[in-house]
Amino acid sequence: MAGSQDPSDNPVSIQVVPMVDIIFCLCVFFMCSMKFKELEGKFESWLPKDKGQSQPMTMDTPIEEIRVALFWNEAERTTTRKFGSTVVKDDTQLQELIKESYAGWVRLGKPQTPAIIDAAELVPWREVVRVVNLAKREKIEKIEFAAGKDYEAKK
Amino acid sequence: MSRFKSMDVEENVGCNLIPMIDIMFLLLLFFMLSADMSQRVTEDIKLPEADMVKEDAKKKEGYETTTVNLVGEGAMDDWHVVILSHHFHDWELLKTELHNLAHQPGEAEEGNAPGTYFSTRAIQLRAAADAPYKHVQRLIQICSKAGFYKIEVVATKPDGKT
Repeated sequence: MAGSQDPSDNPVSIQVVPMVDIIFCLCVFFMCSMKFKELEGKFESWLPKDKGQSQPMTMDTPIEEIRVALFWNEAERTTTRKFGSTVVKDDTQLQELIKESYAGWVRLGKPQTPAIIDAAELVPWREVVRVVNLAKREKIEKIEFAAGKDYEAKK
Repeated sequence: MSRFKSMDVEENVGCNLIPMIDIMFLLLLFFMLSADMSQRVTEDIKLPEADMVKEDAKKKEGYETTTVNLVGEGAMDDWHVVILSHHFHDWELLKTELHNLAHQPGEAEEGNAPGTYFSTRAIQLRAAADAPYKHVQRLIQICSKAGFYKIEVVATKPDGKT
């Protein structure tokens, strides 16, 4: 790249100053437009292919699930989390409850028991992902979202 | 009386531009290559945080993906979907777009039950952390009806930057 500056070597001189100006401008542009990208990852969440439950639930059907319910408190603008009838205080307690419940299902030979997240409409998405994350920490393979309202039902 | 002879040296102070140009070219090359052109498929939104997410290793997993961004603000209906910089404020238009995307030639997954259609393509769902769950739920339902079953929920690692 770099060459000799001896004019006798190259009789045709090139004006480098405008080129330096342009390169400076380009450098400034790319420096300003560069931004640090957040490190993103993903949870794979394959939807069921059989379109819902193939077998209708009856009163005798045993409930084999780990269900976490999320409610939105509009007055306080907070999310309330319930595991069964227990109101969960923090992530540690919820993770402990999920862990105990899942360990129980594993002991019964049912490691495929799903964790179901049943969130109300106005619950922020971050709260739902937080529960998914806690379930993933306990290495639960099946994590499902409760069906909820069918927004695309024929009106 | 001076101990040293004064030296009449005519100093030619000149700025050698060539090494500077070399360095500038290298800097330019670095910034140009590091400018991530793939960012145009992703909107600048605050994603939910999760430390257990599987890092997107940028390797082919045997299927194509489409990034669907859910952006907006507020609790109610100020939320809309952005796909490849196209803003969909109308959910009906979004349904048509996703249906067309799922039913492109060669997209159909083989070996499904008769009468069912599933696309091999995956949807990368980038929903803002503040998005009300109902919009995410509706988006998943629309994807499902369009023929997608591979949904990837995107989150960011806490304090993770690249």
